[in-house]
Amino acid sequence: MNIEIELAGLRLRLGLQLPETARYFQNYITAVGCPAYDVTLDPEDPGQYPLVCFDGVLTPHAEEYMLIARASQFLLRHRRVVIHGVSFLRHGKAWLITATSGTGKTTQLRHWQRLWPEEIELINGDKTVLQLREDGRLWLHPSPWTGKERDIGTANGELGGIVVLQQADHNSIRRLTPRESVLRVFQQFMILGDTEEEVRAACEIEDSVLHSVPVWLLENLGDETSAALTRECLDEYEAENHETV
Amino acid sequence: MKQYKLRPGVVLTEVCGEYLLIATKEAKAFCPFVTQINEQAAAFWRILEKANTAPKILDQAAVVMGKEKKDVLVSWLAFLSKMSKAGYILAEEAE
Repeated sequence: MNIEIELAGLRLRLGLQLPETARYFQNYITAVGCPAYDVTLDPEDPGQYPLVCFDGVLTPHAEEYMLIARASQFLLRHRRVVIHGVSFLRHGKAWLITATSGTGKTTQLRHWQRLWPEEIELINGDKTVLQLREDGRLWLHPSPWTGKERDIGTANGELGGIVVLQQADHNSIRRLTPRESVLRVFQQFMILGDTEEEVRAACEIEDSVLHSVPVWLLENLGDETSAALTRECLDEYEAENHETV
Repeated sequence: MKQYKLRPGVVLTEVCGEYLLIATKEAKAFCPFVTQINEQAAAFWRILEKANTAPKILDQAAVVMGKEKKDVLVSWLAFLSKMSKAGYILAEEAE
């Protein structure tokens, strides 16, 4: 079954192996039953995701998950990429909190939602789409891939900065140099990198990110204090840049 | 004499002045998906794209790095060891 979705300003046709998978995209579907598709799973994909596709058996959840990287292949041709991170709007800019699974992204998001709900507007709770626009500006968009907590957002906005999380026995935040950022950020790009073209497209986006916005490392205990530390850091950054402007 | 070859399918990219080696589908089974390398290693990589024997590599490296060949040799051997173990460089005896 083929469906068309609107994702980060693009129309993308997905070729689904299982019709039930369509429910994961329900907020994004613009057409059903298209004659062709832009993205579908490769026959080898189930074998590449043993933790999601047990014994090679395809389920709707597994298909939804495996489509992330395949969709990213399509998106890269249009200067967009799926990045692993929660994102929200605050004070007119979009902020991304990124880390590998299980590090505490959702925990941080929950702190923000509980402590300062009026300040933020959710973009996405798990996999955000990052776009390098023609005018050189970087934009964050929501996506259908909202994680197990199903944190669904609809906001989008210009990227203000990135916070990389790392579990620690203390709370501290510091700005990273490009040298310290490049691998940490690239590793959160949800890409297959099957071809040189894809790799260079992803690197072009990351190059723009590292030239344009700050990247911070939040070493943290996962408590409310760590979220408050991030908030204080963003406030200081905004104040400095407001003065500069 | 040994000839050195870069693993096919590995892309050297520069991102904000930093260097990454990224394995495409062709290379993924043989080396890490992504590795960050320094400027000197990137220079050796670029030289290896054109030269394939140790004498030629050292000649070019000395010019590029502005050092004596004997000083470049230590760096080259360290680079070769690390990259070979990781699967990025292949070595074979020339006929």
